[in-house]
Amino acid sequence: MVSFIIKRVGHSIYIVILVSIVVFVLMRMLPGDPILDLIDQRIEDAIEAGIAMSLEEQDQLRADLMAEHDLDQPIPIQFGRWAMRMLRGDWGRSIGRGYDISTELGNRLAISMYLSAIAMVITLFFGVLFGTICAIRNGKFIDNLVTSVSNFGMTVPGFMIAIVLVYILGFRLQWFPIFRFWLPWQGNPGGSIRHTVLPILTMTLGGIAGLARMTRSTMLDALNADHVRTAWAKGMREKTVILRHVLKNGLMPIISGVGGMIRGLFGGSVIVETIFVIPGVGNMMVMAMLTLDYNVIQAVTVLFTFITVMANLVTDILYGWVDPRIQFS
Amino acid sequence: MSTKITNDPNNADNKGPGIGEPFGEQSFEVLTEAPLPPVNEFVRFMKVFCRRKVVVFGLFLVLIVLVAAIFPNQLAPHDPLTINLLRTLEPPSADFLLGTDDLGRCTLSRIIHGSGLAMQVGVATVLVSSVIGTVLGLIAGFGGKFLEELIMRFTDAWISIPGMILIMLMAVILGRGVFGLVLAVALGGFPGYIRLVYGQVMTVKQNDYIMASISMGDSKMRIMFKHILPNCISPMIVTMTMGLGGGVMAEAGLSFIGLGLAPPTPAWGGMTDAGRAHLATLPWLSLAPGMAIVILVFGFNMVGDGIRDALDPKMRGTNN
Amino acid sequence: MERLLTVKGLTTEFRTERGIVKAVNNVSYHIDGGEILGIVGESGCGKSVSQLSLMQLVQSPPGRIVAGSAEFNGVDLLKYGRKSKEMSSIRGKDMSMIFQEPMTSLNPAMNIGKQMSEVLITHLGTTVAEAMERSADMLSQVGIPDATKRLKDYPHQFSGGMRQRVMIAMAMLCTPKLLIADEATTALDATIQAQLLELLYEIVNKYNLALTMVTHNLGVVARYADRVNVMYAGRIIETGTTKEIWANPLHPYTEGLISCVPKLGQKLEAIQGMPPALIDRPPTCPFLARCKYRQSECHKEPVAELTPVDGQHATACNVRLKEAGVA
Repeated sequence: MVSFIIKRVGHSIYIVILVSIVVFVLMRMLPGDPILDLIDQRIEDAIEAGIAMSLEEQDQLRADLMAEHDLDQPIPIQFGRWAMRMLRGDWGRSIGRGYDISTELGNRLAISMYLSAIAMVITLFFGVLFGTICAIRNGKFIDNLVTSVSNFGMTVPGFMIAIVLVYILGFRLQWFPIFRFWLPWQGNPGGSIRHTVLPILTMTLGGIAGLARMTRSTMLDALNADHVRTAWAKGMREKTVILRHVLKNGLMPIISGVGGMIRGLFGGSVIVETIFVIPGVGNMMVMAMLTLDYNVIQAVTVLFTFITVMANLVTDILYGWVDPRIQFS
Repeated sequence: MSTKITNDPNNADNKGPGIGEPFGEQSFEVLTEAPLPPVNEFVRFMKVFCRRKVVVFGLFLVLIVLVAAIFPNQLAPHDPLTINLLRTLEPPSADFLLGTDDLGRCTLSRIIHGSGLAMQVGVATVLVSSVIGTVLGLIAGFGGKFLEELIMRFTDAWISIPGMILIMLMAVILGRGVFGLVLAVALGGFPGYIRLVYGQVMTVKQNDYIMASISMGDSKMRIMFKHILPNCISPMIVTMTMGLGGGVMAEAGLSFIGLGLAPPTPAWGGMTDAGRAHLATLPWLSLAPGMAIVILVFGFNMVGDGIRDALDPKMRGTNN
Repeated sequence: MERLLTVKGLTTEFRTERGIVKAVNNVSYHIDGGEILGIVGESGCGKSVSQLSLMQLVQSPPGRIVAGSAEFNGVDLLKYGRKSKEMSSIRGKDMSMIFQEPMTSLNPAMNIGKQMSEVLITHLGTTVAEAMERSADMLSQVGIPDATKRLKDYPHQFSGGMRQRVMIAMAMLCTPKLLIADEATTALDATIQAQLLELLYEIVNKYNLALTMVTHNLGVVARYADRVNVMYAGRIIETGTTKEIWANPLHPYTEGLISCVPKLGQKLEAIQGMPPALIDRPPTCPFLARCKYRQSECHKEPVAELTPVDGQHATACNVRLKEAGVA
């Protein structure tokens, strides 16, 4: 068990390192210019202050800015310096805006994690519930209904769900506010919760549909397993058969899907946070992408990868703990 | 087909045995029963495929979008790019069935012209990612320990990056053209194919008939094309049709957050985003292109479902 | 001994894409208390499905019991719903079944102790502690060493033969009146098969249970069974005491089966041809195509009902019945 965890942790670290190298190098090979916006802004600032920069001054400014972010160095040296700083816990500064990435990430991650955690719990609960009901009532009305709805639900992109929700619940019915967000412990918890409703619905509806489908199929497999026939043959009643012999076996494969769900939630946060103007990590990432802020893109990618890898690690361990057949070796 | 058991084939005057007397030394023929009509695989496929109405409906939706993608100029009532600042933000009318956007462009025409991009991106991304994925999967399965480790570890890393982030990264890196977009979405999806093909190679390699094939001195190439690839085709087709919808969604997502094709090219995702500003007053500006995405993705997914059911060996010879 | 189970006209169908398969077709037989009945036949002849039908464990859909009655202990089992309380209270208590697949028939995510004790707790309402104690006792009776300790083990920690022993122990917990062993030893290797059969025989005798042994191995039946039903294409085509059938097989199929049992110094004979498809069968004898004794009338007459020829010995072969002057 311990050696298994050590091995898996090693594997996880290795993946995070690999991803950070690949992203770091790929970004620096792209044709775009990360400090273009920044220089434009400085020049404009200067003009507003009544100073016109000469071309030499502009070139000097560019060279300074490049040097400030190590961009004048060869890529391996840039990476080496970045890695050394990371090891000391320094995530660097935003190229475009100059903020300290780790401070900014800390605040924003709390918000993204908060929303993702709520979305996760809701998705798991309803996805498993609906999927299980479908499997038990296979072919009956409720199964057809839920299956059709989830088939449809899986085809609606997140932003479309968000727009429909905003239009109906936000504009037409005026039940929920359509943008801004703060954490409940940052004051006015009631308002915070009202601001949570639409983002959470957006984050969960598609996931519930997918999970219901997945649960339905694993539950059907579990329902038709030989050992379930044995349970019936032993004279167990339907409730016992399902609760004791089907549910656990049908849910085990779901655990391994949870890692993927977390990956999907963080990927989706990019769009949800953009639509609802939520100051989370995804929002930060979109800004960074649009201005080619290398340092922020690098930081967020590494962070998200780390979270996904950790989620996979935890689900693997959980799986082994639940399924007695898995030997940690 | 009948089996002839006879000890003396020249013994033609065979009157058959009396009661309780076996055919014995004389000729005995196992009778052939009228065989059940052979199952025509194509007919069976179509039967299973068409059994669910929703699958047929999905196919119908895909065909509609396909027609729009092929004949946009014939179908669209207006030019999608013509700006008419005198007629901006009009509600639906006989002239503009879905109204006009803030530059006075016909929303319906823009949706029709956007279908080409959606279709292209959907199909091209699936083709690109499946080809890259298959080749790398085969190399990982057959190319020896070093390449296997390299490719599979890389795949592990790749799928640890959240999907949308990965596609966005690729889009930023590859630039804003159709080519860059397709490649970005394809690069987001190809590890799935690597795992599929690699898994298939690993499973099939264990089979006795591969061992037999190897022991008979068949080359790797031959095994690859004769045994591995045919085994991959079914799951591959299923993953590919499912991937079509995913590709369309990913492209729409990209253009929604502004990382898709540069304006003014009509793209459904970008239109949905642009219409958001007028959502309270002119909801169709955003909802109509959004619905177009949903229709195409739904169509692709249902067709994928139908194909999966029809190809599922477990479904053969059953009614469920 | 008193009559324990009387099956009449049992018919089970499966719906498939190509038509309705009559897996069990108008099967009637009986079993007395303490008796060992063998059911033999090729794969797909309906022997397992007939037993699953009695337990109402046929997967539905696609399977369905369409006709028949099965009077067990004075009640008609087929009247009860598949999931009814009455059926549940008979399964595992008065009538137990051991399945063919030892590797998958136990719940992989639950330890043996829990899986066994739940039978006692459900049917007899014992306490957990007592159920565990009795389970351990039963495990040691079926030859599992260190039984109390092994209750905590999971199925994957047992070998195939050991798992089947666990299955036997589980089936025996409530001392049922009828035990059905559905190809219980087929998947195991020969030495273990023999051990398990001996064990089953011992236990059945010790508790004086009736046993239905479903197998395709006539040798096994000859050694243990009192009476034999021979099934072909969903029908019982011959029944009788083991001695009668072994010494004087009436149906050509039975004769073929017996000649398939390897005997020292004799040439092994095989039955030519394949069993017929079970969809849209004509009413004629299903064995016709492979029969060495067929007559031209066989092609015209519908297949005979199972008709007694002599004492318990009955067959469904038109030719042999005529010969014996019965039909």
